[in-house]
Amino acid sequence: FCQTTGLGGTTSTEHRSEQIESMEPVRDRVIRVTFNADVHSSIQWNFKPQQSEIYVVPGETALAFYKAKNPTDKPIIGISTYNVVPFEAGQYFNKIQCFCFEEQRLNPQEEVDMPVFFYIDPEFADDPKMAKVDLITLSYTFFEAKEGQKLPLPGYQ
Amino acid sequence: MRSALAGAPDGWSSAPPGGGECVTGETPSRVLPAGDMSTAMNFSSKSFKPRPPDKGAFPLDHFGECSAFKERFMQCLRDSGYESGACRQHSMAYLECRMERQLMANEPLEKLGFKDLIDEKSEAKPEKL
Repeated sequence: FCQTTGLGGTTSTEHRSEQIESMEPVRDRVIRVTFNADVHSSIQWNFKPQQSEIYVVPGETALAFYKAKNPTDKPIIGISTYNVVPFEAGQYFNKIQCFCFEEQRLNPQEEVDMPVFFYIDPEFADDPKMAKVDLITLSYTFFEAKEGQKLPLPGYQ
Repeated sequence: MRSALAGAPDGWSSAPPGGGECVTGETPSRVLPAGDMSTAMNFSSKSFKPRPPDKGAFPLDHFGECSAFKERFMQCLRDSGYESGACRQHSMAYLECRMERQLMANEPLEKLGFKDLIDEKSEAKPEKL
């Protein structure tokens, strides 16, 4: 579902797989990626990044972690979305796998690691508009997923 | 591709609702509603469009089966001044842990960007096929 409603469906995902296999790191463009975590007031999870920053280069896959805990005595289902700033860098920010856009259920008192596996497209380094960009901030926000509730979240096209 | 989520450990009392793994193409019972997406995120006329991850969502590691691998990775980050490139062996090991425990769809490591690390390994052991 995610793939067919994403960018052009399965084909583009396969292309990205091939791109990942063949891409070369651009070692002279170190980028600092910082991590924010937010929870909407509707959800009682504790949610935070496990690292405030990492240094990456375009063309090399990278792993980072968030952590979520349900401190209540009831299971809570959350669903998250993310944002990338600067806006123009977002098109180069490719998430291979993460924890967003799908319901995640935490049982009472449960705490889990939430990984994000991503890379910055090597074409970032060829874009003159990106020449001065050396900081990208990734923000995730969790909302509570309740039956029948319309979430104030963007759909993805 | 087999859904990694289907390998939820026994003993967990109920399956997550709507937990369809993106990888299989199943439709989760609940997804984000489609709609105008400009309002919440920013006020410019161009708005950021979040894209779903290529391979969908990681199933939650409810039992911490790969926590030790995560810890080693995090320690490496701390030791290296948070240089992602210095800790790729550890990130690869973490993802391998997930794959071995049905917490991630199996994928050749080359397709996850670890081709150079695999090549190093096979060069070190020429007799290994």
